Amino acid sequence: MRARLATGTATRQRPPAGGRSASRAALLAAALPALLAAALALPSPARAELAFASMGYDYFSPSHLDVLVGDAVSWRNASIREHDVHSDVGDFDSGRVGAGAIFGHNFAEPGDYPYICTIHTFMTGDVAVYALLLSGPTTPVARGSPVALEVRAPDGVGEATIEADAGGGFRPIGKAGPGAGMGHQEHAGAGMLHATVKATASATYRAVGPSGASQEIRIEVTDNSEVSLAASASRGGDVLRAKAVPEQPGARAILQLHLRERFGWWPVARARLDEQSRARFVVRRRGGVRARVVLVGADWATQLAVSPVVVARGRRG
Amino acid sequence: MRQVWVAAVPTTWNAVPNGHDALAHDGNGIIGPERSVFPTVVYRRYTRGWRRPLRNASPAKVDNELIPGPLLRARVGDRLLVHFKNRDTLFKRSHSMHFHGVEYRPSSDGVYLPGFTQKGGDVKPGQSFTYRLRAGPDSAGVWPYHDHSRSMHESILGGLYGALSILGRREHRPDREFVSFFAAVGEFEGINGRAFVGNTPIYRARVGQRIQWDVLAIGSEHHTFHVHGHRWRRGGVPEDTRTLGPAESFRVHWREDAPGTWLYHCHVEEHMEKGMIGLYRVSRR
Repeated sequence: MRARLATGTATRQRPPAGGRSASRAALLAAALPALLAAALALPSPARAELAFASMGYDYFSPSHLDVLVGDAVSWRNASIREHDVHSDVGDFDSGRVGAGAIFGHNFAEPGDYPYICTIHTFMTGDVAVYALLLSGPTTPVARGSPVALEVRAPDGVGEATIEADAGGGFRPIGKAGPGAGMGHQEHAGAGMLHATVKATASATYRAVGPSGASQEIRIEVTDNSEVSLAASASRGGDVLRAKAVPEQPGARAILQLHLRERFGWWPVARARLDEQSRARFVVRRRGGVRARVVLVGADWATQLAVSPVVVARGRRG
Repeated sequence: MRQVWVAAVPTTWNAVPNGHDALAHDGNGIIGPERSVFPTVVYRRYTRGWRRPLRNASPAKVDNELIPGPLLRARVGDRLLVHFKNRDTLFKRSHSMHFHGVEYRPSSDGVYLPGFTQKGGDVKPGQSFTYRLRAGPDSAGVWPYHDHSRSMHESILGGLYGALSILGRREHRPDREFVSFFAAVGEFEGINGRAFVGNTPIYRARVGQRIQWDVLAIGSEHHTFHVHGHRWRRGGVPEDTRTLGPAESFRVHWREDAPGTWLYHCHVEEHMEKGMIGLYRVSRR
């Protein structure tokens, strides 16, 4: 039996990483065999996931969850007083849940399921169940840059249309498929679709499949990317360190040198920004040379942001 | 016997990495990526069994210098096995390798001909084929190879060609060997897939070195190869410009004696204006 940890995509809240969350998942799996068995036995989902919420002293957290049709949600009472989880719409009711106890429910139909605690009626929450689940970058991206989107889909859904609304209503802009997108081969498992779209303007995105649409996500496009550049001497040559703001890990960066025989700026090296949105280049050329780092689009040529120029002194001697 | 591993692979090619025509007479000459960058399929050299890609040429720059394909070297009398794999995941077309100047059986001709095509003339995506070649007594010189499958015309426009360099039995290797492929690239006229001075190859030599220039053309135009400040002999007669048509090729030799920064270019004015021009830099020692 497989219980993958789901996240509330609206809140981006993730369970804590490491052994503790694994043991908690195991505990939950042990505590909820019927729930998981029911979730996994449903006809539609490729791999049902379990999303977690908790009952606090006077709140549900997260109070909003986006899940895929067929997914299950578990609420754990993390407070010292009793609560319940009651929904008129979804027709589910936990009854009284004591401290440390767990209630689970799985969602077989798309829709929005508001719920309350009938003991403390100010405690409210809702679960939004979608035919597809879309995820993408949560920080602004540079205009014109490629954006990787992931779609979680029920079994048997091999393709979804990506639609974007930049102000004039949703329009189809691409397809998500099992193999599409870049650098996703390692987890091109069942149920995950990929698409790469070009972010030309800030827009709201959704995925549309045969049985309905995903939730909507917002991706902001910025022109305000800035690249800082610093040079420091080392034995092998000058080390140039570039950093881009806002952070855009994985973005493409090229090192350009200003060369007389190239009649201008000439690309000499490529890199992808690391997790901290940084890139490192080494200039080994003898003598001084003007250098800069340019953030570029998918074609490794369209300039998105240009760093200040530094003089790299290269290898000594 | 020499063996090489080559694959047709997709790449994103930039014909004008410095982004301008430095010789534009209006003083502007900016050429943006929307004109100069295009996805294409090129020949790339690999290690044995296509395990690891190699650079086609050195010194390698940011784009790995993938046009033309790898320079295949041999000597008269050599047998040459060219292991070719089609990794065209971009257009998903069949490709082939067809070699000029060497001896082979029809099965290694690499040609598409309905009703007669053999496996080597129609290597489908994901498939491979080994061409068996021999450098015969008439093979000394420089020769083109190129795609001769049914997608030949689109493929050659995209840069799917390369050169064979075959030395005579007792011929010495030169100190410097420059490969110059004259061919259209996108809307431009280019050398080795690049257009305009600074973007085209910068060849370098030192005074005293024995120079061999391998000059080839492919496509649908005639070109004239001209180098400033230098002459070479052809049948005893000196010349500084030589014409070549599609798939023609020749070698030019001299011992370098002229330091400086020189131009080489196609002297068809229209081609030169559209980018068929480059630098040759000779240092004193």
